[in-house]
Amino acid sequence: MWPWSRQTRLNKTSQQSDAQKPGPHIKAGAARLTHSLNDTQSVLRSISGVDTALLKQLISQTSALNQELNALTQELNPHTSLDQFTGDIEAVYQRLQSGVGQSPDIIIRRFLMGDKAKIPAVLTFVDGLTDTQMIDQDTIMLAQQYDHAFTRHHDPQTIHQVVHDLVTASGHVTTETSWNKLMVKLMGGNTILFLSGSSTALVIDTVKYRARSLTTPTTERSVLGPQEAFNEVVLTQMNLLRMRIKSPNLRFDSLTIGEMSHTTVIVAHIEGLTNPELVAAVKRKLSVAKMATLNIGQELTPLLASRYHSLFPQVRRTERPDVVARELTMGKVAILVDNTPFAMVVPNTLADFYQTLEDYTMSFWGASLERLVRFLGLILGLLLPPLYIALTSVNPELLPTKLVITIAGSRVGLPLPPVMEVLTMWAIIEILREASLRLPKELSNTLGTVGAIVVGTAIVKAGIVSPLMIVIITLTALGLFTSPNYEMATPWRVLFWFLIALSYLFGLFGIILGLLAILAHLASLENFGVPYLSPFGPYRWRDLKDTFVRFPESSLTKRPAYLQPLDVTQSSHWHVDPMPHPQLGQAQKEEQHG
Amino acid sequence: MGNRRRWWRITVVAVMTALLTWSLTGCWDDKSLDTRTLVLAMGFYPARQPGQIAVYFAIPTPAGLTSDSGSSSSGGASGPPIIILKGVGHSIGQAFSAAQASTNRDLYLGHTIFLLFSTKLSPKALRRLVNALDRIGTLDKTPFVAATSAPFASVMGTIPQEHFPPLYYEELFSCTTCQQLMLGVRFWEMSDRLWTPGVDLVLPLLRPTKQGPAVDEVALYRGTRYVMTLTPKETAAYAIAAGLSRKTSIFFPRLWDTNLDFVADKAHVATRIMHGRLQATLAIHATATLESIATPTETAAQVAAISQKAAALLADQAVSFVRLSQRHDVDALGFGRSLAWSAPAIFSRYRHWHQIYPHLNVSVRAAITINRLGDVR
Amino acid sequence: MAWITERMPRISAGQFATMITAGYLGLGIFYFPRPLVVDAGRYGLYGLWLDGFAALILMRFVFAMGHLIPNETLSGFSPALLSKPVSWLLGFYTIAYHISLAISAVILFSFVLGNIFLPSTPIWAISAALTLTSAYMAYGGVQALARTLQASYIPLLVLTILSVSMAALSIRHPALLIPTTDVALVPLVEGAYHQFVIFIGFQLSVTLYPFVKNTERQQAERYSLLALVGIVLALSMEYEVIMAVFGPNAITELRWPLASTYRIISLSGFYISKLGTLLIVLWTIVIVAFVSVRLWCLAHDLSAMAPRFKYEAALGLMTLLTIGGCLLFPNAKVADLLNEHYLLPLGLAYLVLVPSTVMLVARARPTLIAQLRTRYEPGPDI
Repeated sequence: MWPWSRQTRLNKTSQQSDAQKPGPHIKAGAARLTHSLNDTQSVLRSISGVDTALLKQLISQTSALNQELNALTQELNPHTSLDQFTGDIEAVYQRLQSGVGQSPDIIIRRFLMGDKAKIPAVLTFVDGLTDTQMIDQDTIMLAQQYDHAFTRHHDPQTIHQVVHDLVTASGHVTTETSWNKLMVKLMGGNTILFLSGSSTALVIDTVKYRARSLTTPTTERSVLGPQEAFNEVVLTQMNLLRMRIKSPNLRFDSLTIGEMSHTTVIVAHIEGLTNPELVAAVKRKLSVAKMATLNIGQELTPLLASRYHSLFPQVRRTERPDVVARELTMGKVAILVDNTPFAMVVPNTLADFYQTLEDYTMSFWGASLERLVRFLGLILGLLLPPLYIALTSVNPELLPTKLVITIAGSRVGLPLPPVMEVLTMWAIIEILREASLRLPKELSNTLGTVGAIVVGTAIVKAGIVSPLMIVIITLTALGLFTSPNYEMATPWRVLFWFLIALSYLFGLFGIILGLLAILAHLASLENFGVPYLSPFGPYRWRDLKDTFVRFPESSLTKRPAYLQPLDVTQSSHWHVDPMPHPQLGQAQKEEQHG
Repeated sequence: MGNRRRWWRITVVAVMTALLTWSLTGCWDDKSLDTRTLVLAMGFYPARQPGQIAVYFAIPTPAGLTSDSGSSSSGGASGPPIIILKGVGHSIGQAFSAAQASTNRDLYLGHTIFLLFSTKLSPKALRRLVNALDRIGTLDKTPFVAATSAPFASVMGTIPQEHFPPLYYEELFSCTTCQQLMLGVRFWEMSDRLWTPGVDLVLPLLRPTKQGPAVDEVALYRGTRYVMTLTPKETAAYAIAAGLSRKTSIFFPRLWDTNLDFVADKAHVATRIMHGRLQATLAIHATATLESIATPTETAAQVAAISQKAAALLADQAVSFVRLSQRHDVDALGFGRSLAWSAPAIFSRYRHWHQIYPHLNVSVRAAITINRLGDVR
Repeated sequence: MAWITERMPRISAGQFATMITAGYLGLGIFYFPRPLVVDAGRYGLYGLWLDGFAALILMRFVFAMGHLIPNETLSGFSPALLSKPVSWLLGFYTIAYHISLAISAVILFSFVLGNIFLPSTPIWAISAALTLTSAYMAYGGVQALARTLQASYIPLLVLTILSVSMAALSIRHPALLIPTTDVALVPLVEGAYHQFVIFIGFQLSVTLYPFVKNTERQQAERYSLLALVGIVLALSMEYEVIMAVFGPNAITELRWPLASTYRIISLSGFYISKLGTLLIVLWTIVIVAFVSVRLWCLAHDLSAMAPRFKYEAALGLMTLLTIGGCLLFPNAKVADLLNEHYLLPLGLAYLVLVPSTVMLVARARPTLIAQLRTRYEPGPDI
């Protein structure tokens, strides 16, 4: 690392503060600090004639700090670090009460454990994130009533083991000694049980997620496919995948990202199928993530994309568990992020963004037709307005004479050149689209239709654009959204301008140069070593069978070549028909006669 | 390091901006259709001044365009659908500039679909014109070409069936099922004939009449020199000899009142040295429909007799045309070209094919197949 | 050496063949088949086949040189093998030659486009746009360039078939499809020599060869030779169609015979009636491929000769040189003269002399070759 970078400096200071942490002189220092704080507090109380609200806030904050420091000093002893829990139950209670306990959603409960032994214990949990029934009945009640082991051999350091083994009735109980880790667990919805004398606390899994129920996918709809979408809870996401892939080889590797948010990130893959190099690459790329919070999975895409500044999406996001399951079985890696209902799948090629699960739910005829229509939509959406400019302004000689006369006739008296027509109409369309996206659902439909029709008719009547332009721009607006993936529409919407400019300058020649440049850019992209333009460049004959058209299932027996999975064969025995002519009549006859 | 990089970035941005502005200053070829004047047809005539040519440009008017496209925005504009501009000069370029001076929009040749050459053009002028037209990159090389002795305005006069006369001619010549004789010649075929030795130019001749234009004659050229115009009857004979007949009908009143229709033929020319002598053959093969006959059904013998008779008739026609062309020394069928391609060494021995052609020994063979019985197409 | 790690990107056999194929064709396609027909007349087809045969032999010859030190480019190993001054001379010659090829192709195509399509657009703008696009394609490096070419060659192949079959509809003299049997040898060889310009340019394999994956070398050579045969077949078809449409006499009068043939294709009943004219624009792909492969090669050689130049900087320099060179041409005739009098003989000389010299020296110094081979150990394949 660069020796004078900010990062290094930060590291240094944090190291220094770490070094100073334990030690006897702290206690004296802290006491002095408390003292002075008390003084300041009293001084502040006596001040008048200033902003009272500000003062009150200051006072309350300092008193809170005071409390916290008091609790700390009480617990401090020269042999342990602050992070280490000591087993002094009163100190723990104070520390909790003055720290996290100040927010109302943290519940701290003191009770005595054992009917006869009466060991003091403290239990804390976050109200709302936990299952209170589990705490009440399966922990507190059992602990209070328990009455065997304590009386006979009462060693405070092993008591947590006894509770773990014999008392609590929850499924998942772990132990922890570090205060910082305990706090993170607490915030995650676990219940922490401190027992007097034991320096190890019990972490009882009482997590209860407040989750949205599973709904139908809204961004990727399907007619004949499953109708289930992810919700925000990563556990549910994993469950939905497990339901589809019951193989024990489906692995979920967990990471935590975000120094403040501690967001769970799951890397899902199938052992023995997914290329291990790919899994390692994904994990390594994610492990360097350093961010305060990870709120949405999208924030990870810069880490996962090889050239983040590219217009084209390289990480596919989907809310459909069936899509993720399919991609996993093809040999890709999925990344699930807590609180994000979209799973991310890597690596991807351009062609992947034009495939949907829908294509595999119908016959290959229908699927191929849909693929071709999507391709046509892309071509029309991207090229129609540039072609209009090129063919009406720069190279009209390519059109049939009759069409030219028609276009020339429709343009008589129009004040604006075709470029301005396109720009005007495109601006209108984009505004309408954005507005209908932001409006409430009920209004947006009306606005979209009414806006398009009214504005379209009016602008033609006003003589600003020609009627042909309305047709072209409508086709464009619709064409770009035939892409099954919403993200894939954005790059084309931007490149559209690039092509407009080129067609204005050079006509058809410009359009071809522009397309070549786009192709060159696509060819230079790589995602986890997978060429983005595959299977067109480099050619991969096996994968070409699932691009513009979808070949029948019987010829798609291999997994995609570009993923280089460990196991290539996906399906076989398509040509074996074990029972070509079932003798239905014979069976019926035999049944009737015998 | 960072400083250098920043400078680099600034330079790149500055250069890109400058380039962009620079490229946007000229609109180069971006001229929208309403700023272009579509020249639909051009006519080439000798000018009054010796050595000069007059070029006519037929262009559609805005009124013509709007009423044709049926757009309601401009209402029923009235006026002639096309107007004609004239330019005179020593070359096409001069004439073009002269005509450009009389319109405020760019004369655009990309949609010229019809070229008309006056039969009065001098050979030198015609050669120069064709070469010049061939050099114009924007001019398409597929427009139809015709000759005329009538003035341009009368050829481009109103035609009842079509708004724009050039479009009428274009469609007429490109329609394979609506002409009796396939007389259409495209510009590239014309220049091809002029460049290739051993073949002469034949152009359809337009004759404006009261009912509309008549296209039943052809003009024969020797090189670029206009020689003669064939009468409609001779033209039919030419079409049969050249394999251009599509809808000729033949009537035999003596042979059961038979009418053969839709006689379409193919002709093949071959010239070679046989026994030390030049020998040319013209093979014609035609198909026809037996449209009507006096008897309710026809017998095989009848069909054989009819086809024999018809083949003889076709051969007669072809022979009469070959004789005519030899008399006027116009190798319209390309006997010389056939020799040049099959035996280039021998052909190059003749200094002028036109000295040989009138004495060429041509034998004509004709055959006809009656393959349909009574369908009217 | 830092060299080898920098050269980690490797291309497959198919990509190598695509790049080699893109490396020629660009220059002669505009005149084709006029030089043949002017000299050889109707039996020009034999001349084309003669050219194809000669190209095949020369290509094998150049590949044979590649076998010497398969993991280093000529510009990389020539200082050690041929001494520094000779290698610099060779390097400069190569760079100057390739840049002239690029300039010539760009300027010719710009004039064709300027003549037919963009009459009011300045030629410098057309050639600059073309060169910049090529440079952008080369910018991504050899792998990206190879992929781009692969992807863009599918539409090109489809279009070639489409165009040939559509132009075949305008055939008027089917008799000309059969070439004559009375052949004179001297004009035939002359025509073949003048037409060879269409195959000039596969020299770049001396730079490209080491980039092929080690395991696919043999296959790459085979593919390139097969592609050459395919190109000769395609050109033969084009030749036949042009011949049967125009006849030998008219072809000699046409400035851009292939373009003229496409321009007579007209379709009725479609949105674009002059489909042939559209196809001429699609030649942009051929020319851009030709120039971008060249620019890549040039930039690579320059940065090999003078390591001060990074690949990107060298590419920028070469692009500027190409654009600047294009400004020097007042008309297409000058480019014709350049092609005929300099590029053709010099290119042929390169193809014959360089491999033979290198191989002779290599035979004389076998120990050095063995040393060099071990020095440029094959890196791990990607």
